[in-house]
Amino acid sequence: MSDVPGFGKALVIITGASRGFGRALALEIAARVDAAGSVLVLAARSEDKLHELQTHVTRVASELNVRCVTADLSRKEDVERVITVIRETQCADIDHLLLFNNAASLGDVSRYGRDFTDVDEVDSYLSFNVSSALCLTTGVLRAVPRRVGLTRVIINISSLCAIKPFASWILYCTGKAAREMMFRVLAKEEPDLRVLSYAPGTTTPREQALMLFSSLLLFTSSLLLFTSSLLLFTSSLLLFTSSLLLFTSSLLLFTSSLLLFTSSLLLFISSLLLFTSSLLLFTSSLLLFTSSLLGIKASAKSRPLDTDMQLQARSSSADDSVRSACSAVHAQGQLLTCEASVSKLMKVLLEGNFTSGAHLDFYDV
Amino acid sequence: MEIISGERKDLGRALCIITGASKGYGRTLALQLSCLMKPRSVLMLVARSADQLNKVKEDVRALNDGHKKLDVRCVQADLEKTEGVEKTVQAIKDTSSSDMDHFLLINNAASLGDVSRSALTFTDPAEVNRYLSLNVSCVLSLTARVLQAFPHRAGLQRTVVNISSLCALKPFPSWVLYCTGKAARDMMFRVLAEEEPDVRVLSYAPGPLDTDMQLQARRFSGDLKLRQSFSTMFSEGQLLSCEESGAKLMKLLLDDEYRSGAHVDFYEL
Repeated sequence: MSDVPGFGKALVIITGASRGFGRALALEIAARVDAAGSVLVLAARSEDKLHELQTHVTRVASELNVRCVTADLSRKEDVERVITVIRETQCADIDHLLLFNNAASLGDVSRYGRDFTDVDEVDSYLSFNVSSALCLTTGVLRAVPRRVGLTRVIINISSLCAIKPFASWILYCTGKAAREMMFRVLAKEEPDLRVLSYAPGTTTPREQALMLFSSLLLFTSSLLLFTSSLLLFTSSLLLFTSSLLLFTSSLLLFTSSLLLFTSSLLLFISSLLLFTSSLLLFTSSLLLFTSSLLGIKASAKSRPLDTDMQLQARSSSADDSVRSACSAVHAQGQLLTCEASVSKLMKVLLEGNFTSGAHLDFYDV
Repeated sequence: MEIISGERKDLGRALCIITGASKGYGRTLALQLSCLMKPRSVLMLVARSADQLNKVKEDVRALNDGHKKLDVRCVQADLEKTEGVEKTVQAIKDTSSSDMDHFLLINNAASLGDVSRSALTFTDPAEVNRYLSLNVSCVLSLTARVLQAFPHRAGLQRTVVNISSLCALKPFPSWVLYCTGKAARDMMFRVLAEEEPDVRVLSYAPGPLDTDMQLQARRFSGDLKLRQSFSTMFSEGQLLSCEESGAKLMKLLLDDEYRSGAHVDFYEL
């Protein structure tokens, strides 16, 4: 592992670690810390999945101290339990503290904002997605105070939804915007901290526009193709007629000067039509080529993370355009793997050039 | 609605609901709005203190000289609780509104939260939850219920105003709850604007107002620099009067040219 740049001796805490992005994060970071002397704390609700992950992590880094905490972070006692585990951890000589606030829920995306009449429902969403993230962060920072030689990094797993509204995603957008601001205030208040809000991969409006443009081009070119095929059909009919006429005229050569004239005219027209249709075919093939290029470019750049949350977004978003966008992206196999997004995050964290409190999108890196 | 030389002079026959209407900015908005409402409009004032609400009601009456038949109703409700939201919605449903031109909800009620402490001291989720409940969840719930009670109808303009702050866009040290709550509200109303094309949605940042909240900010802000800058603003007379800031909001509402969902600051105008 010596060739992989890493965080040295580190205390790493990952919430929502049992699946998706959190799980990929755990596996990647295990290879980037000094196995001896580092501690990886994994928190999630599912005990089974955590232990299964622990087994995987140990395969990557056998000496690494991995602590699993079965915790439902919407409960105060469970947030405290994670903090207690951290307090009990020996971390007097670590180089890095890394806290990944990854746990989050999508909320009910099958309804619009006007349907959220129940205060308790919104309260419980914000409690899990906002309050618990703040209280876990402050608890961890108090348990691992500032010290010379220790870099403390707080990562907020954010989303494009923190800065851009999406119809039928009111809870998710509100929660992500709230978290983002919360961590920006924290960055302002604690200049020795490194705070990063990372959006692990979503479709940005620019790419949506690009995809729209390419689909328009595809539509235009298919129309042109249809027209040119019609013209080709017509011209072949004319050719057939003219050949019949030629045959007749050869039989009736002596009286056929008129018929010959007609057939030559028809031949001329059909050749013109053939020429036009070939031009149209050429244009449409060019357009198809361009649009496929654009499509490839857009699909390479606009892939939301392939996680359970994306599945939920795809199947239950109330807003038709949001839902079909999610489904289209999935159908075309354009979902970004968690691993690709995690490795970009690692690169950013290791380089450490970001402004504390900044929002960074996968596609900006 | 009366339109003279292309400019709207009033809000028509309107039903206006103002939360946090008993004092400060909410009170001023009540007085200013009452002058823009046509006879037989309904002005609904919501706040916790019944006494203060009744005083505002008298002030509104006095301002409009009693000539105009304005129905001013006070709803004593604590919007921190579901019951408070329900009570307010019930009062709105009791209002006859079949031939209104305009329906206007001003979400003004908010609290500053404890600004004397840094974010690091917020270790109790229950405290953060309470703050978000009043400043975010209840606002969404009230807005949703009110929009349901007044569905889309031809000839009815529906407007929802979120009294926002610079804090929705810019972080301020020792103001973690306030900034978080305001950022959350702004986004919530942006999503609403996206979802409801026929509802006019505005987040208005009124600027630094000379109110009780400003006094609290000046006295208790944990961040020394911030506290000093508030004191300087106060001593050098840079704070805005509620009237001055409210007047710009009134103009925004009358002109009705803002992009729905936009965050508009007093100083941009």
